[in-house]
Amino acid sequence: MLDIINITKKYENIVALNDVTFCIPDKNIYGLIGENGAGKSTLLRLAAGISKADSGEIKIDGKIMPSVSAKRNIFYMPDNQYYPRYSTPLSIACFYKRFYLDFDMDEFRYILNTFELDENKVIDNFSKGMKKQVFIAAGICACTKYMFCDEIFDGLDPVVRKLVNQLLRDAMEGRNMTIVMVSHHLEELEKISTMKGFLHRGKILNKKERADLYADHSEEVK
Amino acid sequence: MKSLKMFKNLLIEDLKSRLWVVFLVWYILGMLCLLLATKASIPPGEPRSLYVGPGNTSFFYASLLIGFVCGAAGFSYLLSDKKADLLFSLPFSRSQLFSASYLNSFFIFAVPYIFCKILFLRISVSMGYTKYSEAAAGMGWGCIIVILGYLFILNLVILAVLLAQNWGYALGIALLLLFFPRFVIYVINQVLNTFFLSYYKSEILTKLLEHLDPIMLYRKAAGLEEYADLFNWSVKPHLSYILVLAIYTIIFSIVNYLIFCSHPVERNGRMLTFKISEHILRYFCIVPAVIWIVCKLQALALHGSSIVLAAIGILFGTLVMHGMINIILSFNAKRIAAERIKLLIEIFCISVLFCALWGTGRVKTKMPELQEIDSMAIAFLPIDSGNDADTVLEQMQLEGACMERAFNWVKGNRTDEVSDSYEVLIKYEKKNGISQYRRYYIDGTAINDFNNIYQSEMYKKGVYPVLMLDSLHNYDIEWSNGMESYVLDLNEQEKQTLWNAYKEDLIRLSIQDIKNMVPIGRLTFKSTKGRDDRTGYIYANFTGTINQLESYGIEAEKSISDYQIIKVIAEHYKVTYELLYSCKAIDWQNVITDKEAIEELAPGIFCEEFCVDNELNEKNKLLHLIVYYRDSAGRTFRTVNCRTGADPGDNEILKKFMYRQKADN
Repeated sequence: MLDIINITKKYENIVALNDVTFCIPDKNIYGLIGENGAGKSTLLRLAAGISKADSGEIKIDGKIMPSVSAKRNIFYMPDNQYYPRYSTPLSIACFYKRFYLDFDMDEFRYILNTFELDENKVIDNFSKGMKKQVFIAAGICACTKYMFCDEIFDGLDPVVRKLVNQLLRDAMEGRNMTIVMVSHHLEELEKISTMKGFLHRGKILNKKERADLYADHSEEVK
Repeated sequence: MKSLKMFKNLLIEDLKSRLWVVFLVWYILGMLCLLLATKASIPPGEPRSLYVGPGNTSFFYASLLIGFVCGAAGFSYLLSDKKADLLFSLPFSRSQLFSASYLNSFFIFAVPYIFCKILFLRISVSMGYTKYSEAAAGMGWGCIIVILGYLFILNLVILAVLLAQNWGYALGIALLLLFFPRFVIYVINQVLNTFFLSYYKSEILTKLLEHLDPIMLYRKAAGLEEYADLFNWSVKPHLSYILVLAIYTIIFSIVNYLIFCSHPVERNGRMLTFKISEHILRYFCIVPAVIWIVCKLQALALHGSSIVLAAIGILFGTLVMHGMINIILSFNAKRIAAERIKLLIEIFCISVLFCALWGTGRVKTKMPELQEIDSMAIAFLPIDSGNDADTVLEQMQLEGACMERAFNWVKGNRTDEVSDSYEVLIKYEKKNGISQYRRYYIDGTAINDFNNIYQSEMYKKGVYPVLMLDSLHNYDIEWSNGMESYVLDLNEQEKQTLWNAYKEDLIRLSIQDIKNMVPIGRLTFKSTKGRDDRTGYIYANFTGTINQLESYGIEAEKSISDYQIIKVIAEHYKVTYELLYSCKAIDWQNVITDKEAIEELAPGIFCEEFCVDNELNEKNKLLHLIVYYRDSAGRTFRTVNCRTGADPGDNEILKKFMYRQKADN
């Protein structure tokens, strides 16, 4: 279970997250929705143990982040993942296998086949979507309990999106994974999420606040 | 077990990402090994085994360069958002990430370096230059000191990378960390030199420089300042520096670790990672720079120094530096005049600091009382035929009546007029154990009184290196008169006799002799073990030495006029003074081949390499002679550069040159 308790994070004078509290039970796909600059990526980076909150705490299965034992159960996939030059999908899988000891190489190859990607091709020449597919495959095969994905659908075409949705759902059910996805693509998240959260100006909105926000936006559109 | 395996994997992945550094280190050290091991000519006294010890210059500079590169490469991921995100998201704590990078940086240098040292030890032993038992300790210290020095530089560069948000600023901070202590001490010396005429140097500042300046400290610990012969190298004089180096290395490692643990991954839009480092950097840059500007502005003062100019310097300098630092820290030219409250605080701080420095200098540069002094040393700068001034100050020890004479001579004749005066440097060894260094100007008329001090053995021992020799064991004696030189084939007894005769003659030498005579020859005591050669000039009144040399078959009194001169090329130079520089160019040239003219000219010319103590025995600075002469065998001719005295005396040819020179002027 992922517990986010009273998290506040500021950058200089900007409040990115303001006293955010929510909980994600195990075996869920949690869709975190919000406009640009709402603090979605910041929240994900805090949950992954990359950056530190100014106040509050994040617990993963009761362990306070950024503890190493908790991080072993997390795979973080940013919007724009780093990889060394001349890497191939295979070398990336080998890299992750060194740190995620249960990494499933056979599954990785299977998913790559599904995506019709060559494991020995240099990924510098891949399109943005193809690179994303490689890291989605690595994330699923890392066999961690939690997977945090930032803007996972960016660059994916509708066919691959459907495939990714299916893979993630299978991972949740088959591997008991909890997936936290951050995006501003509302429809895609609606399709796949089992739970949703709305982040607006550094705060998680409740149902009433969400309804008011929708109403405001609808009027603006009209 | 799982953690250990993962940490091992982290080490491997980190090393993989820095393979180019590994190759670079092996390449640099490999090339050094190849160059040093195959060095075709070994200078005398340089056994191959010295490459095993810590004082080798090539390995010293290689370790500096590699420390810089490894420090930058080890934590470079902090300057890239994507890389930092990947590494910090992996299942490792900050301590593990720091340790992995630090350990790899250590091994990247230590492994090839120790390999090189073992290789040199093997070569030295197999070539018969040394034995394992003799060189093992030196090699051990060689490894410890150089690796410590490397780690120190590595830590400084890591700190710079941790404090900066991009490569440009990281480089700037690294340079600041490396050279800041040196610049601060230089500025303090500048202030004291500019505002106090009698200030020469401070022992405390010299010690501080040696212990605070990273490169100087490392040099001192390795013994790079001295001849780095492994046999002469001993740990004792370097121990304090090694300890300080080790302490700094440990402190900076801990500081780096703590900063790394609290280092924010996200970039903050500023140039530096932490706001507090901006304040520190601001004062570190502004204060010494403004005080330096204040010193430089004193050049505009007509006589001595001016407090008004100092005040203008503080206001102007702070304004300029404040604007510059604002621009540098924000990378925004519009902020040149921002933060005015800070500007006022800076002006206040710098004024207080400057006044404190000035006040301290005023108190510290007062002439001590005779009762306070244990011993003193005088470096009389017009005499340049002996040791250099700093060596004189370190080696001379005037005590008792001689010290009293010297003290009273200085006290009675010191003047504030720089023109028509002689410059002397003094070191007072005070009874409280403190050494004070002073610079005084002595009235030009007091030169004759100086002879009483000059002719004492204590004074001469400090000035002339030949008198400081303990024994002639391991020394050969070479004689030269500028035209010919011979290494004397003498036994120990003969060497000793010559040396004793020379010592007696040298101690008898007076200031009047220096003023009236130019040396006619030189004895060089050449060390067969190292580079500790010592030179002493022979004057025409050194009868004991000359007789002794003649008894060994050396024509010691033979001067340029005793050789068969074929031709003399006289070149006269003209100095043109421009606003900011002066230019020296050849004015006229005269070739003299007429025998009679040469014979007349010859007694008035001196071999250029013996034209010493020129302030006392003036030479014509603009007339340069190239003399073609036949050697003793008379079969070949050679050339020698010569000068003439400032006063031509009765020499008609020289007078002609002078008149021509004056007519031209």
